[in-house]
Amino acid sequence: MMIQTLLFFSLFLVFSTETSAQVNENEVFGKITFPTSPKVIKRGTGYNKDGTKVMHSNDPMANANRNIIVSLHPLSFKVDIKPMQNASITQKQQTFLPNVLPVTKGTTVYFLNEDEFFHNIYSLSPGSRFNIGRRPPGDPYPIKIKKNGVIKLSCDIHPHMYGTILSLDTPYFCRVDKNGKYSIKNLPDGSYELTIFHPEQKEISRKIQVSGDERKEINFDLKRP
Amino acid sequence: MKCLPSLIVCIFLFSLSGNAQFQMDWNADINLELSAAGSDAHYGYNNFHRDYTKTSFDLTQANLIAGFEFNPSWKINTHLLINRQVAQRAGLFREFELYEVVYAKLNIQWSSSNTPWSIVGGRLINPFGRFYENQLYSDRHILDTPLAYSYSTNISKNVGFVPLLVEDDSYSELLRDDHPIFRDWGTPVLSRLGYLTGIQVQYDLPEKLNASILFAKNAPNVYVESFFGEGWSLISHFNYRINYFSKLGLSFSYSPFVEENYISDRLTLSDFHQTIIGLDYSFEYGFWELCGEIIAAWYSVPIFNILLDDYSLDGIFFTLNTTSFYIDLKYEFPFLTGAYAAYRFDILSFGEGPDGNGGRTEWDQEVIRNALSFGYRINSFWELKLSLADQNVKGRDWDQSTFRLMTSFFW
Repeated sequence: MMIQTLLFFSLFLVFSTETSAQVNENEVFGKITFPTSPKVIKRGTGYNKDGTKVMHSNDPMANANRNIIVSLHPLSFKVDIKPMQNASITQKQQTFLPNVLPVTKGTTVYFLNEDEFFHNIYSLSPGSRFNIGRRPPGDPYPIKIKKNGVIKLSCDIHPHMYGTILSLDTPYFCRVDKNGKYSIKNLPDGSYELTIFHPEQKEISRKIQVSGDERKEINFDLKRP
Repeated sequence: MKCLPSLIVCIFLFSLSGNAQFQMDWNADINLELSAAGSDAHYGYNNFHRDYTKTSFDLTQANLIAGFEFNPSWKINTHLLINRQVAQRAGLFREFELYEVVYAKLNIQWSSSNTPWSIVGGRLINPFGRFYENQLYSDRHILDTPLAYSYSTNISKNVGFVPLLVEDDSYSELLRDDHPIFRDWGTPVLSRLGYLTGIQVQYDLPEKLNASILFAKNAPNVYVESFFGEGWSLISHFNYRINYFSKLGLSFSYSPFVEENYISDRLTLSDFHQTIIGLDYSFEYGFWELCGEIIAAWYSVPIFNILLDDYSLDGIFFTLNTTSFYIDLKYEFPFLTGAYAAYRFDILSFGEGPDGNGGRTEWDQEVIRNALSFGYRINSFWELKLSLADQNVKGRDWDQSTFRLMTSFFW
């Protein structure tokens, strides 16, 4: 019996080292060069039907370049995904803040209306369809995110408003800082798919490998030609 | 008249600054419809041509909307649409010539973040009331246009008041095809399309209050294909947010409305005018939305006698009044995202006027319409809407029910 138990634990240890990577102090960092000018011709997010002025927040989190999300998706090992705490999106001055919210699958996102008038939030993204109705200020509304991927948000009352929840299958992600710099630390050894999400551009992906307390610098240039 | 587009472009180019950053944003949609109507349908009554009441599938409308911005203050707004012609109901890929291409918007706008004032000139949307802001079918819970904006009354845009103008088909047989009221189905209180040419000044505190005043070279009750009509109209709208969940609007309009070509030597343009007052409101909470309008209109017009083929003048100009009211109730199903149901009650009633035989009676028949609609947004670019409506014209036993199933695609 003792031999059987030791054998079981030995096998368990062997398999567990194969399925979960060794924890190291790897880091991926770099700089993303922003697009300098908006698109010249673009599809509108919705036309201003009553001709009244629309609001735009000056908050940095409304700026597309501050909503670039860098994520590393493990390819050579599996990782436990835990729901995040205190994830929220605010509607202020007819703007979703932040414009892109990265979360892990299973996270409950709270929607807050900080304007002095009604807002609505709905999503028609496949697998994440929801509509919270018209909500007054000061009434946080929770929605649990049940799928991975891009979940587009709109406001039925203000068609020019748009936002994104980026539901990720990895805990390794970050938002770039105001200078475009990013850093993701405490990465286990292994191979990853590095993804850059920009709300106005196509997603960029690249396969990378890190091991042995490596510090890997990867820069991207998102400037338009 | 034809120089308006060039004029707008010239003013716009003049407004360009040295460090201008050109930007264009655009949206488009296309609306296709399977529809049928009761045997007594009539374009003047419920926008269904009586020759097309059987089930048919056709293009209702296509829109291309674009804004051109060279700097934060100056912008050109354009809205081009392909529309079924006012007097016809065409079929898709057959009778395509019955569609018209219309500039709903072609204007230049000045606005600044430093001031609540803005000004816009050119072809623009009538600011009266709250229906005109729903220019696209995607904005409308119910596909049918409210009676005040679509039901043709006995007011001709060419000669004024003609008793039984819409109803009496024998008129067309009596009249030559160059007669002012040959195939004239009258005018609604407010034109169904709502495109006017003029200059509009706006004071706007977003989500608090908005005031607009428009001087237009068209009458709001008459749709003309050209950019300019005959007289100058004054139209204003004041909109105020009372609290989180409700808004209230007041509108006023005064306009001469006849085509000057047809005016008798004994009359002037100012002998035919329309005054309208409107009150609009909306309440929204959770998954419910309630909105509607009350519109009262007065016409000062002479009466045109079809048998005499002349005005019954004798120094008499009549004041005719009409009142309309509609209320929309919409509910979005929280358990089925993108789906809703909506109901509209709509009534248009008329005061007393001359009956053309020396007596007095209601100058047109009261109409009541009930409409029910269901919609489902399949995804961000595809929507389905089903609309069922039935209307009763006072004193008539007509089947004017309608069935419309519309599919819309957006870009």
